[in-house]
Amino acid sequence: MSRAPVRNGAAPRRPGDEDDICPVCKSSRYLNPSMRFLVNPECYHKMCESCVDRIFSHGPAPCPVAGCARTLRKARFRRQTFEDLHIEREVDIRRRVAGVFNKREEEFESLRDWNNYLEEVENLTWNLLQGVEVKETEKKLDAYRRQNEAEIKQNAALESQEIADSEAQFAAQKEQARLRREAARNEELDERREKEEGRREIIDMMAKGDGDADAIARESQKVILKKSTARRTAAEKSRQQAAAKVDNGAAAAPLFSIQGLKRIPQSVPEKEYDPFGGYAIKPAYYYLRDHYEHSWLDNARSDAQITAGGYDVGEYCARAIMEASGGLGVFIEDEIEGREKRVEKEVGTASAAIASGGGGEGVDGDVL
Amino acid sequence: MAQMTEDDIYRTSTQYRLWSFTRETLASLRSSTNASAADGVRAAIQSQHTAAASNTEIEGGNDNPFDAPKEVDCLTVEEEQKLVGFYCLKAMQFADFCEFPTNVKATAVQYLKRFYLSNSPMTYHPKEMMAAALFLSTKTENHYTSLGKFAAKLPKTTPESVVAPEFLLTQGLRFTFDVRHPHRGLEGGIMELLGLAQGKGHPGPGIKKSASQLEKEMVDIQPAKEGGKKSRSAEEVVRRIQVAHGKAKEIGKSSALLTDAYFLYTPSQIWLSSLFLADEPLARFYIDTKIPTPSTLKPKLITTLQSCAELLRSSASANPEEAEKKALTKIDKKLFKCRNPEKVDLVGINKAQKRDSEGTGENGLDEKVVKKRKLEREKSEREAEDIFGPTLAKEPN
Repeated sequence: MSRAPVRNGAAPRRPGDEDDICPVCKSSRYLNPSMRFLVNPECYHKMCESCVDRIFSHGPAPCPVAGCARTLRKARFRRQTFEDLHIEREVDIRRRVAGVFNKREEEFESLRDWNNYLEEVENLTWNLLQGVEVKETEKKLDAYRRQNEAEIKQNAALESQEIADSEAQFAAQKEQARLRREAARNEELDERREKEEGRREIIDMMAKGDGDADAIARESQKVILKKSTARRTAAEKSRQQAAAKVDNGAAAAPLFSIQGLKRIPQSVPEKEYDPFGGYAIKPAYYYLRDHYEHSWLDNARSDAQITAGGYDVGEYCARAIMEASGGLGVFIEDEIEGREKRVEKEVGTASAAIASGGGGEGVDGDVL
Repeated sequence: MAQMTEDDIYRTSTQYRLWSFTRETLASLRSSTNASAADGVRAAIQSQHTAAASNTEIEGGNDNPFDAPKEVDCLTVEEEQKLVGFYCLKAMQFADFCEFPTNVKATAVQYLKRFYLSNSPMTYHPKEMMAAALFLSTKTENHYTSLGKFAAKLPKTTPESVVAPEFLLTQGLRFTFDVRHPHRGLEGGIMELLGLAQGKGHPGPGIKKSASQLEKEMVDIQPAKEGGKKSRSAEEVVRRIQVAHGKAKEIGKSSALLTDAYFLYTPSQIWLSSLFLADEPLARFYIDTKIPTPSTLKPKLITTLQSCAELLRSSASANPEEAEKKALTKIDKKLFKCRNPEKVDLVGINKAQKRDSEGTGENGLDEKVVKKRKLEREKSEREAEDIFGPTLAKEPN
């Protein structure tokens, strides 16, 4: 309806304007083509602009609709947004509640908590909408607002910031597109002008009459071609520069921000990777020195053939010294005693199997 | 933070976990291996005999040339040991001939020793295993040698005969190829001693002696031999260390490999024992710089080193004398009579066990089986080229 074609040059019709008779003064659109209807969010009774002026100009007055009698103020009258006044009212209530209960999902520890909160808020809203326990609900709402004033303000600011960000981003994109279009148009104009000039030059040269007409034409064609290539590269360059500038701008000011990202808590810097999982050699018998003398190490230290491959003499020394004392305190006679029985059994069976002719045929099962 | 000492690290090695034994276990292991191998040999010869006897009966009984089998005279544990020792020696000589580095040589010898703990020379002849062990050790010790060149250097050896017992060998080794040698440890020890001699050394934890103090003490070490001269300067000490190093290295390359030292002692104990043999006062000094004096560890270590040194000293000579050679030939002849006939042709057995063996001989699979397999393979190959792939295998119901 709101998109109905304009009638008789009157203002485009808005939701709520389809009624042609004011329910208060009964004047019709036929007599007053510019009639507009207003509502007050107090009771959502519709009346025409002249009625509002007439009744409420001198201060608050009761609603003229029979059986309503709520006190209304002129300042709060406004045009309705939705065709259905119930929806108008619901949207108003929802906006009010959402303005108070403006917690964000990030603030909750789990999705379940967030959903519970949403459900509670929806219950409140529903009560207000349906007129159930309105007083208690209003009290709750008010109490909550008073308690969490600072938080509400903060969240509201955050939200408006987000909106402003996205708007700015949108505007920047639009501006960029406009610049691109303009540049393309300028380029085209330049090209056309240059072509024109070139042709004029050819004609001038031919008119002067010195030289072969064909040669002149060919020469000038070449010049034109060269010019156009030069211009094209220049244009390309400037375009790239513009793009780079936009990129830089994006980096400098947060024009672009991805929505719907969860705020990640500052992560603790990762520990340095330890390939041995915390194990370390703690020598019991030696201290490793930086340098060891040995006749054949001198060669390895200086020979380019060896050092070029990344051979590290220090590694060799560490290993050699480690092996020199590795197992020094391991007394096999004593230590093996304990596990002797197990080993004996194991080896005994294995040796029996192999020696009695089973060993060679170990793979036979696989073959047959 | 878990901290491991050098000893803990050695305890994680397979050499410690699987290949360290007490003298008693080692002996009982060998005798049980010998006994079961002898049983195997007797059973195999018996079955061969009955088969041969039944053949001759069918052909029309001539004078039975195969009498009832005599009691087979099997090798004893000592004879087996001698034979394996001899082939270890052969392996070393051959490694020297091929100019393999010490670690390849030493690993090959240890492979042979480990293999013949659970296998008997009566079952698998050491001559064949020797080549396989040496070739395997070139691979595990990262010393590349091509199989063809390697086989060409050995007399009466083909590439197949080198590779044929390889799986058997790895099985006998329980798939543990890492051998911890005392050689690098010796170098490390000598490096430390040289550092001490030059006054740059650092004693082990728990010993509070300065480097210069140790340097002085080193000059005062008793001479290696009784009646020898005491060294007078640091340079002489260095020379002394170098002499001891040379001797200990020789022991590590020969006696340490040919005895059971690897089974009974840890690598660091082996190299210290060889240093003990080369220059006892020096070795004692070295231990003093490692372990603080009031400890129970030191006397125990010294006795262990002494017993290890005794073992190394008792090692068979690297150059056997005539009498020994004769004894070995005798053992070899005896072995010829008591070999397990089923295990003689290792190349044939290996071939037969391979999936794609074709034209297997009398030792291998039935020719029918081979043919059937070949047909099956061809069929599946043909089907695989089919646009919808081969037929699905039927579910066994």
